[in-house]
This record gives sequence, structure tokens and C-alpha cells, in this order.
Amino acid sequence: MNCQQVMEDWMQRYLDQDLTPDETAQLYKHIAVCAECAEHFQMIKLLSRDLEDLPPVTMPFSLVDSILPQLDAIDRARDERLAEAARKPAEMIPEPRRTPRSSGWWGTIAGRTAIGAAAAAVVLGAAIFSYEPKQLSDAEIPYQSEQSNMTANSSIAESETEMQQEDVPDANSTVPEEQQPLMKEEGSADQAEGGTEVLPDTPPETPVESRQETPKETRESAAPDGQESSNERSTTKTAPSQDSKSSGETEKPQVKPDKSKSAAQSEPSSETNNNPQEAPSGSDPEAALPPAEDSTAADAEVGNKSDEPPAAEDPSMNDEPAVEAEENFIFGMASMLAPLQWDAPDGLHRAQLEGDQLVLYQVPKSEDPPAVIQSLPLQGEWITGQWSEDSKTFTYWTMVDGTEKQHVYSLEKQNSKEDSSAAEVPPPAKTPARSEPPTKTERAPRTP
Amino acid sequence: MVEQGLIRAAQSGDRDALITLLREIEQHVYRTAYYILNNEQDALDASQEALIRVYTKINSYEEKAQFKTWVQRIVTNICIDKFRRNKPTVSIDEHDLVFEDRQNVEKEVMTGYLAQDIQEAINHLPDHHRTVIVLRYVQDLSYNEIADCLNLPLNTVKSYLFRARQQLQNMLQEHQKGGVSG
Repeated sequence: MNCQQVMEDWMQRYLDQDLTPDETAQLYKHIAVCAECAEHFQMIKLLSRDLEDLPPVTMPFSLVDSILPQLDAIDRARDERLAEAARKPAEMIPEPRRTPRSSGWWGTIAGRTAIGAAAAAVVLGAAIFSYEPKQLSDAEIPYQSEQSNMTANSSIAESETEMQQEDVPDANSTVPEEQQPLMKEEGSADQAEGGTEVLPDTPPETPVESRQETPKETRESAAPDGQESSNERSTTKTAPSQDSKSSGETEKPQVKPDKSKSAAQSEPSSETNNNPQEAPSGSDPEAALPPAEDSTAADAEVGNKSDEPPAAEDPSMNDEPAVEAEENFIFGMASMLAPLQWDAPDGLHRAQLEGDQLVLYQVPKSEDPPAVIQSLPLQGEWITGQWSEDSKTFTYWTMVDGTEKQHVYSLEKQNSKEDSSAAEVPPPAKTPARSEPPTKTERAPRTP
Repeated sequence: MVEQGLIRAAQSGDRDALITLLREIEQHVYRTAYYILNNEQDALDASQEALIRVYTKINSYEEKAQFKTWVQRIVTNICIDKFRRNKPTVSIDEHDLVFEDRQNVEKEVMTGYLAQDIQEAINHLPDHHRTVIVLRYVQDLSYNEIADCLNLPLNTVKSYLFRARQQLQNMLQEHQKGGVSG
């Protein structure tokens, strides 16, 4: 038993390959002599061998596959934790962020400010650059007005004297029937309008109008009487000129001279006296282009008077195409000057504003008074009107409820048509004409 | 048995590497669990738990220890905890039931014990003895590896191992004698 106890440890170590070669030799020597130890050694070796031969058990299924769902869940949970962890430190550690910011100068407050300043400078520069032309354009107007004033002032004296003459010729030029008085009115009206054109909204207009009205009335009465001279006939050319309202400015001066010869000397003188006084009063305060034109016109008239310019000037001026071109160009101003009556290009028809009605006349070639074709009630405030080139339709615009409305009167159909669709009138007539024209309308109706 | 590169890849966050690693060790994990617990279902549960723990704790593994030793420690700890909870006692009746075929037992004496008898005998060893035997014979670990795995002194491991063998031999001899006598 003793030897067995002693050798037990060696045998165990032998099984575990823990014996040195010497120890193994001693063990075998002892086993060779000791039967019990030899039996025990045999038994324990057998046990150890059996243990080593334990069957390699295998799993019925893959454990990894079975736990993959769990592993995925673990991953998700881990990711969430990592994400949270990542967020917190990101918030807690501002330094790493700042360093990259500092690298870019544009990211800094100073850089941003500089960028903003540069952008502002660009915008400001663009604004200034684009604004200059406006200043120039603005400067032009006062320059013109100054000239006009200069001429007007200088010419006022002349105009006053001439006005009488001027007024007369206008009336004559327009229509033989109405004759001088009307023509005078037109001339005065032209001056007044001319003044209004430059400063359309200015109050002075109204006084002029009121003044003009009275004279017109008187003229009307006088008109039939003074179907005056054949001189007027010669100036019948003016009819077309009047038709083109816009060109009225240039034409008017032409017309004026003609009449001035005939009418100025005749009856109208008394009437004209009234007009000239009125006209300058209206035009002077305004000191606008029209007066200048008028004055120039007056000058021209003066010259014409002496020379007989009307015949030569009128034909050239009366040409429609030229007139149209001028219309487009000066339309804004021309609309202001719009006459109270519009003669058709063919000279056979005339549209005239009478109070709240637009009266269409058929003008006989003889000196007989014009026959009323139709009287159209006006809707809204009068803005302007215009004959078509073929003299078959008369188009006029009125201001209804703050919007411009276009009306077309066709001589052929004898019916007035309203184009609702054409609520807005072509651009040229819009701005300047709207506010003032209504006042003119008031004038016109009273004149007849 | 496991490449160090694969372990590193798994530790660096390579999930595929980690899964591959688990597939390489799952057989070893299961065998240890099976012989310690001597029950297939318990072995499966313990093995899955051990693998999941490896999966989640892979970054806690340090190369100063062998990976197989690290894995076996995890498995044995789980099995010992599980064994303690589920098998407070061992009934003698179960032990007797294992040895029914007397005739075969007699024949086996000459060539060796039936594997089933040995497994049954192992199952009657104390936890640490059984664990040492399993690690020694199933996982073929050395004294030192077993000591590392169980975090026990080397001498203690030897003592457990020697004593476990004696116990097994005694049990098997008694069974054999009883079988002969019976």
C-alpha cells in the first residue's frame, strides 16, 4: 500500500506527461517488481485512455446560427449606446470643432463680416452705378423746363400779343364750321394743356379750364356767325393735324399762324383778349415745356404771319405717317394736349366732347354747320380719343372706377362698341392722360 | 487552434470575423458544457450563453492569455453556476439505472469502461473535479492552462485532477465489482 501511495502521484503525473524521463524509468522499475502497483497503474492508464476517448459530442444544430438574432439585437443596443456616447462627447468637447473652424477664415466671425461687407458693397455699387442714368435723365427735364421757361418768359410778352393771333388761327384750322372762336379756344387750351403736360397733376390747370370754358361758350355763339374767310379753308389742312392729337403740339403752331392771319384780325380779337390773359396765367406758374413750345410756336407764328408760312408748313406737317411717329414719341405730352374735338383724317367727321356726351358730327364739305350723327353718353371720366386712319372708327378711353376703359365708335355700324377686354389702354396714353384729361373733358363739353 | 489575426479582427469591430470566431469555438464550448452538465439541453443553453458572452466580451480578451483558455473559463463558469442551480444533489438511483446491461459491462472490463459509464461517473464528481477532468481530457489542457482557466493554483489543479481520477476509478471499480457480483 505504501508503495502504491508513493507511486500514485507519479502515476498521475505520468498520465499527464508530467514525469521526467528519470522518474518514468523509476516508475517502470517499481511496477516491474510490484504487482499491486502494476495492476493499479494498468487500471488508471485504462481510465485515462477511456477519458481521452470520450466521444466527441456534437451539437444538433449550429449554436452560432441560433444565437444570431440575439447577436443582432445586441449590436443594435450597442450601436444605440455608442450613438448616445458619441453625441454626448460631441456636445461636451467644443475644441475639436473650433480648430477646424479656425482653419477657414471664412468660418470666423470676422470672415463672415468681411463677406457680408463685400456683398453689401457690391449691391451698393450696383445700385449707384445703375442709379446714375436716372439722375441724368432727371437732370434733363429741368434743363428743358428751364429752357422752356426762358423761352416762355421771353416769349410771354410776344405770346400775349400773339396769343390773340394764335388762338384765332387754331380755331380756324380745326373746322371751318366752328370757326374762329372755337379755334381760339383750342389755342388757349393748347397752351394750358401744354403747361399741364409737364406737370400734369398740378392744380393750376383747373383754373385755366374754368376760364377757358367761358370763352368757349361765347365762341360757340360766335362760331356760326364767323364762318369767316376762305383763309380758314386753306388751313383746312389743320383738320388732319388735329385728328392726330399727339402731334397737336407741332401742328398747332402751324395752324395758329394760318388763323392768326385771318382770325386774329377779325372778330376774335375781343375774345382772344380773354384767352391770352387766361392762358399765360395758367402756363406761367407751371413753367413747363408746353409754354416753351407755345412760345416757339408763337414765334413761328410771328414769322409765319409775316411770310405766310401756313401753306408750306401745314402740308408737310399734316402728313399722317409723320404725325403718327410723332404721336408715339410725344404721346404722353400729346395726350395732355388732346383737343376737345377730333376731326377725322378724311375731314368729313368730327368727334367733340360736349359735357357728359361725346357727339359725333358729320362735317359737310360746304360751310354748312356740321350735322350730329350721334351723341354718346360718356361713361366715367374722359381720358382721350383718337380717330382711326381710315376715319371710320373713333376710339376713346374713359376712366371708369379707376380703370381705363376703351370704347370704339364705328361710323359704319353707327354703334358704339365697348371692348371690355381692352380695359387697359395702350401704354402711351396711360400715365399722363389719366388724371388730367377728365378736366379737359369738362372743358370740351362746355365749349360747344 | 484559433488564428490570432481573426481574434484581432473580431476585436476591431469586424462582425464577420467575430462570427467566424464563434463558429470555430462553438464545438469546444459545447463539448465542455455537455460533459460538465451531462445534459444536452443544458449544454446547449450554456453554450449559447457562453458564445453570446464571448461575442459581447471579445474586447475584454487580452492576448497574454490563450484564447481557448479564456473561452473555457467562460464556459466552465457558466456551467458551474448552472450546475449549482439545477443539480443540487445526485441520486443513487439514477446512478444505478445507468448500468443495466451487466453482460456488456463484464466484457468492457477487459478493454475499458463504457463511455456511458465514464460519463456517468464524471457526472458524480464534485464540480471542480469534474471541470478539471473535462478540461484535461475533453479540451486536452495542461495543468497550467487549467489553472489559468479556473483561476486556481497549479497544485490545486493537480490535486483536483488526481483526486478526480481516483474517484472515477473507484466508482468504476465498484460498479465493475458490483456488476460482476450482481
